[in-house]
Amino acid sequence: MLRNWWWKLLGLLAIIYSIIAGLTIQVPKLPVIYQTIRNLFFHVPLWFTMFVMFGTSLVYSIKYLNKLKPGDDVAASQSVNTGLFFGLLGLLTGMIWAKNTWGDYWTNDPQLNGAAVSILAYLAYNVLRASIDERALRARVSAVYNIFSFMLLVIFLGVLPRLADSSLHPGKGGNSSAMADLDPAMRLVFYPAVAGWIIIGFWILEIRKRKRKLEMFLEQS
Amino acid sequence: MMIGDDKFFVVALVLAIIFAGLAVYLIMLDIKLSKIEKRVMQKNATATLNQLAETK
Repeated sequence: MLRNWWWKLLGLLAIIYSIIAGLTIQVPKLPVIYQTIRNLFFHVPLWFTMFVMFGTSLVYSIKYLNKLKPGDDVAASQSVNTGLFFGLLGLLTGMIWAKNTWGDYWTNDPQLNGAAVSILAYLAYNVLRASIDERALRARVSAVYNIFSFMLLVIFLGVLPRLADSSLHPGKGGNSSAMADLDPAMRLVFYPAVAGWIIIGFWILEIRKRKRKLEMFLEQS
Repeated sequence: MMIGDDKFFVVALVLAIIFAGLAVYLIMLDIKLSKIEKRVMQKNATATLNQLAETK
């Protein structure tokens, strides 16, 4: 049993550590954000996990287009849905943080609008899938679309915010690089938090794939 | 300094949202798995009935 579980326990341990350490370590005292700087350990890993899940989905989609194995199509679509779950949590937590530091739930920030566009692109992936009945055609069309939406994600979350004239997000346009500025003590909590949530993402993905395969098994017989 | 002046409640709120999100997700998963279970049971039942009918 431990053979299948060790990585899940590792992920849980990393998150438990990040919550305890994240709430108790000394953090730099900055105006306006005050204690909310600790949200770095809880809000940001959700986005990293979303990015990794969408990346996983891209890999499965390319694999599907190469070998046309239905299993890869299931994995690609379930990765997208897992990523959407983390993206949605990232949006909600980000809105609460923004309201209490920037003054509004939604600001006209390139990073925020980029996140909204990319999430909409992935919601469209599900709409596209739902609109095609024929299984092989649905798999192929959505795999091609998935490659396109990953491009959108990279452009809207990775490139455009950095090119923008000004962004409220650290490390983005007009702001210094967040990662270079990050307090060394905070790095020791931030990296395990990111790793832990990515692992939990893969755990959720694994459960989703198993559930979907059961459903498909029931549908065909 | 008033309680909450340091905005610590925002961190608590963010943690609560993440926990609530996971909870909702688990509940939905539980419901979906129950449906799958039910269908497996039904399938099993019909299969047994068919077998009984054949043996008669």
